Amino acid sequence: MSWTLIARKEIGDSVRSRQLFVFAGLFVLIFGLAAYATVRAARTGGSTDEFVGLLSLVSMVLVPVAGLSLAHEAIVKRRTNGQWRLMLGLPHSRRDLVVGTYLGRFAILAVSILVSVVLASLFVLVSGFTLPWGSLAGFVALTLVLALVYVAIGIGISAFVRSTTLTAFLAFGSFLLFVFAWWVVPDAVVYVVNGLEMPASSPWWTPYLEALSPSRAHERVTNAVAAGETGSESEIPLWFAALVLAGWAVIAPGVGYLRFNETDL
Amino acid sequence: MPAIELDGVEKHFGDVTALRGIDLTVDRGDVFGFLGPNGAGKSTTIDIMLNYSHASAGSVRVLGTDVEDDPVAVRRRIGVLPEGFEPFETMTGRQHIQFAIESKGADDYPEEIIERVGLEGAGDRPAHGYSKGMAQRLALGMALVGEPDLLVLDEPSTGLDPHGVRRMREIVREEVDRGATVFFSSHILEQVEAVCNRVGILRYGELIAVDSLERLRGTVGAESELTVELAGTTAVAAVADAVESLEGVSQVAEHDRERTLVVGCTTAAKLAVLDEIRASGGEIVDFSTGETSLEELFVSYTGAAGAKPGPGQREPEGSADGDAESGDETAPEQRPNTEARR
Repeated sequence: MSWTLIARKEIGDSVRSRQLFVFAGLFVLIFGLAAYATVRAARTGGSTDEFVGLLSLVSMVLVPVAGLSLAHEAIVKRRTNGQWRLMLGLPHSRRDLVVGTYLGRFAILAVSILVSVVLASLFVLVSGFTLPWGSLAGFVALTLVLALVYVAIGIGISAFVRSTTLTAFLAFGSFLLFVFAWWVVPDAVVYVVNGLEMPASSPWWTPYLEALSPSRAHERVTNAVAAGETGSESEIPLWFAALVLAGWAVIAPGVGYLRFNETDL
Repeated sequence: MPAIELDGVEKHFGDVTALRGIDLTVDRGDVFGFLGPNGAGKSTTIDIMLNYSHASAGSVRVLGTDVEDDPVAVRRRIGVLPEGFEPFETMTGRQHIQFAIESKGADDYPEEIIERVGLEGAGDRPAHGYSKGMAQRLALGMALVGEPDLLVLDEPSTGLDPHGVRRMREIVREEVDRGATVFFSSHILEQVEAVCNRVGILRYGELIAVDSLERLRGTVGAESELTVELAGTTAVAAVADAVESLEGVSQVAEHDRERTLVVGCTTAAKLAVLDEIRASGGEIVDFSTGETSLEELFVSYTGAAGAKPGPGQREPEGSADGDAESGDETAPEQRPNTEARR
């Protein structure tokens, strides 16, 4: 269980370098703005139900950015500067390093999210309004899942490649791809597969392809939980979206680890 | 059970061959000096021993365990001072030692280790601000945690001042007295000479000699070292050439600035060397004799003996022409032991 020691060191590093406070501060600021907007709307007759929707909206971009930026240098930087050479002189395995770094960095992001949600909720409460507790709890749980998945992708990239420049490029690329570009990717694939023209109706696998982006899969699960949507015929099955999220959380660091393990330090 | 067993270890980086079949056994309790010029493959070998890199062929067993099969089991029983490492950026020296203690499940006191490696007073400073020598001391301290059965020290004296080098040497002796095996690489020969009982010389990825120092000296045949100080009017280079061609002379090193020649030769050839210097116009101011330093030994092995360089490997700079064929057998203890250098 020596990965726990690595994870604890990650968290300790983050506290000692003030990184945790920077991240938590960023989340507090942004979620705080969402809370402020909610309170203003509620004072003019609106509902605080919008609070969770607003948080979800900013989290769609903020959480992938934070997860990837926290994780993408975690392995490769220490490989380049020689800290792993010191670390592996101690009785740790490379799997301990990957797992410990992964879960340690996730913990940093999770704490930032939890603290900022608590503070933002308190602001709404002390302003004299109630909160939609159920959907707020759902939001927190699913945002932590989204955070885990993007930290996983960042760690996977960081363990797989040897150059910090390449990791930065790949992390930014996966952010653009999964968060934004994936809106058009499924249609583009259908277009190409169909001989460069759009078919009259989309093939059956289009929604599955769409759900391969962790952001889309997360959105699917979020809609189901928050609004109680059951999903129409053409939509992604809920189980598939959940499977995609679990897959990213495990497979991305797993592939990175396998590569990290078989290459020279 | 030996401490280290390397069996046919090869390492290729693309077309470049870094190690070409290393067979080496280091016994328990040995202080083994792993010598070679830069680029010979010392660090590559150590990296493979620690499972930092993977061998292209062959196998490595450390304390009876195959390092590829169970690197963590090996790491539990060894202490490592790696090359090219960096301290953890957010931790103090003491926190590093504490981390090593927790990692190894040991019960050492951080303060004791910090004092032992000579970092007293610096333990509470962030280690990223340490000098190279302090970082070396810190990593040595981490290596000492948990009384390891084997210490692997890769170029341990890098960045150390003379006090640090002495401390390192004392620690190595203490660890050996405790029963540990020590394996360390160096290109600084005096240090190996001072502490090691066995030496391996690596060159172009091949182990060209493994033996005790005495036996290696005997093999080279350059049992003696003659240091000659010449007057300012002497053409040192010309004299050196003349001396080099003498029978029994294995190596001549010029120290032009100090106008000094250091000649490795058989004991019997010493007088002939002095005669030759005067015959070729050299004016001798002073001279002294002593035992061959490892440096001569080393140069004669790495510069003259062994295989030709392979593809992608370069000749070490300033390789001297050693003559390793002298039959004069002199027992080590009969050698004159006067001070070799002023």
